[in-house]
Amino acid sequence: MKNCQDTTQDIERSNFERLSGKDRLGIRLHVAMCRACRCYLRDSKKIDHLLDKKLRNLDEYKFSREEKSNLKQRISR
Amino acid sequence: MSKLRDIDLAKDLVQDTFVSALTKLDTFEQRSKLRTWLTSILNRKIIDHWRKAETRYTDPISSFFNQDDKFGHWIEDKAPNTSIQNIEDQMTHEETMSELQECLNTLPDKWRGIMSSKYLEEKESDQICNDFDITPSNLWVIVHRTKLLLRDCLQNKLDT
Repeated sequence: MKNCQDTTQDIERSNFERLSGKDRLGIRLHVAMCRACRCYLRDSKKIDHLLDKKLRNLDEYKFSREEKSNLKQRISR
Repeated sequence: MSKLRDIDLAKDLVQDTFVSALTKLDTFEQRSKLRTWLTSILNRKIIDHWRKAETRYTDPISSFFNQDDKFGHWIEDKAPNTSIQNIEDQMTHEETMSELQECLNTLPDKWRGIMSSKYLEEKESDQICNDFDITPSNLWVIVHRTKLLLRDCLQNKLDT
């Protein structure tokens, strides 16, 4: 059976590519028996969700007029 | 900017870009647009920056999983013991978001950049790999490391 390190890594890999049947079964069996990894699996989805909310709210940064003229001065030197 | 999450650093790199562009202006062929050319210089600068930063960073995997006789099992006090599922029951939305920001700030720059490309800009994986100069398997390995760190950081916030 796979250990916790490999199982949690497979959990993340499954978001990027289709796992083999053996690997998918491996996760299911491991998670059924291991409380910590079960917790990780749930939290991994929760973190996706939180990051999604969090990072979406950031404003784009724009150079201010003052910074632009500063930049121009320094470059033209 | 979204790749770096550090306004001052971003400004510095933009400035560097203009400087190198000026010194290499004669090599600029008119085949591409100026903007494209400048962007490609900037992207190169960002990748260089990360490469320098990355060598100072150690892989967190050994602080989460035993690397000796009980290989690959959770180190006892690092094992998930409370779910952060319910974080929003214990904190307001604003509190949750500011704790998450604190946790994000502890990540290496490059990883934070990858997370924002993935979640904020919703870029495709191959685009992210290209931008950050990594392979597809690097990408999910980094996401795994990042989530371990974020999860642990949030769990500590809940315990206190």
